[in-house]
Amino acid sequence: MSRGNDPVRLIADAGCPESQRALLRLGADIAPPRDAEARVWAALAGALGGAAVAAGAEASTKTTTTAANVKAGLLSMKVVALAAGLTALVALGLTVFAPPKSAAPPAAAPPAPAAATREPEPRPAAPPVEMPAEHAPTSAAPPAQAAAPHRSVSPARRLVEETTLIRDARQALRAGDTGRALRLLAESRRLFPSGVLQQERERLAVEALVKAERRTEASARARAFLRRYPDSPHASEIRALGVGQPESRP
Amino acid sequence: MRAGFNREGADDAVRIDAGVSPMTFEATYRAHFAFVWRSLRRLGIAEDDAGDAAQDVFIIVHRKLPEFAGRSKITTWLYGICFRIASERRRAVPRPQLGEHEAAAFIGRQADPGTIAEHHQGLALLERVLDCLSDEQRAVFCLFELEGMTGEEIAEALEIPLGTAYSRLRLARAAFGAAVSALVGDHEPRAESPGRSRSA
Repeated sequence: MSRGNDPVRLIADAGCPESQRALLRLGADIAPPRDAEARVWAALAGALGGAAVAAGAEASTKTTTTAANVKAGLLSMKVVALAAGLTALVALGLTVFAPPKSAAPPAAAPPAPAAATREPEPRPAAPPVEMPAEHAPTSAAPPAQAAAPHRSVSPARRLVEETTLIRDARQALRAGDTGRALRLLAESRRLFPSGVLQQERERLAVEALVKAERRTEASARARAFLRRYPDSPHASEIRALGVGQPESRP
Repeated sequence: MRAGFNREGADDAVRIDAGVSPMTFEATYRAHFAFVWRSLRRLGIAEDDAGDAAQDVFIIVHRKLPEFAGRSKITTWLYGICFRIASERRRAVPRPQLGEHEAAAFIGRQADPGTIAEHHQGLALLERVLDCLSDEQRAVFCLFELEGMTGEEIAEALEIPLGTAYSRLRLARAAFGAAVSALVGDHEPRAESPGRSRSA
């Protein structure tokens, strides 16, 4: 057999005994159970949080031994709880997506880029720092420069911060407090411009802007999202909001 | 659509390119979880263990993603990780031997399974037939026959020469045919040799 000269696959080969092909069809159809993706994601956030905290954040403060381990363990549990909550919320958002027009339009909120507006959360000692990331999705209103100091902070700590911000923003949005949701999302964008939850953040921001009747901004942000992530699981939700039809698909 | 040929559509689009399109960990996870899951299952990880194994895979992905330079398709990169994780786990927990009657119970029907019970029975049989292949043959066989990858993609995923990929496929087909034949007693035209060695 030479390069580019693959044989016919058995599954499509009429000369292959049906007993073999029946088994191969089964193998081809293997798929994860319905809840597996969410389950593993929650466990994963916990595992990454625990390991990274133990190895990274605590070392930076020179805290050692038992106290550090206990702290790491607690934080790890917190990450699991947060991740589980977020996953559930994401799942909820995917299945029961509230039509934006049905919500009573709250008072339009200013962009509010201020980081200090953040509600106090149980948070680690060090301020979160995002990796140098110049890839925040483009939009009508570019985010302010990240004000956090350029110091190495563990991925686990960033994940906790980012997850908390997104969770709070989502809760605010569901509670009808669009202004607070937009403030939290702006802060998330400032601190974690290319964080692991940036797609979720952008989707929530589009929804919040639609609810705030800031459709021009919503459209700009939606278009930027769809250009950048045309195949994202969130893309169809954003389109369902009736904004940001992409100019063309590649 | 048959999962074996529904290869992730985002393969070609999702690349790490520092200047253009960074791929987030979550995006990678969402786009490729199903691929990782089925790859692990086909590599011999039991359904009950697949979640833990997938977690192991994505922990490595989380660590290595910044280094993944987009030189290859992300699925070939992910598969390399799946292969290593599956090999480690299989070494730690050897699988039980193939049971003849459960094999015949499924294959005797010679048709797609109609019930969940039959489906599970069939899958268990497939897993055990695949256990007759060496890890390396199994990987090539599954990527080619079930995932629909080309020989070149397989060579890249497993970091082997193309000729090696093809020869492993030949051996794997022979072993697969022989194993099914032994179970159901048909005559397999393609069974050239037993090929049951388990060269790890």
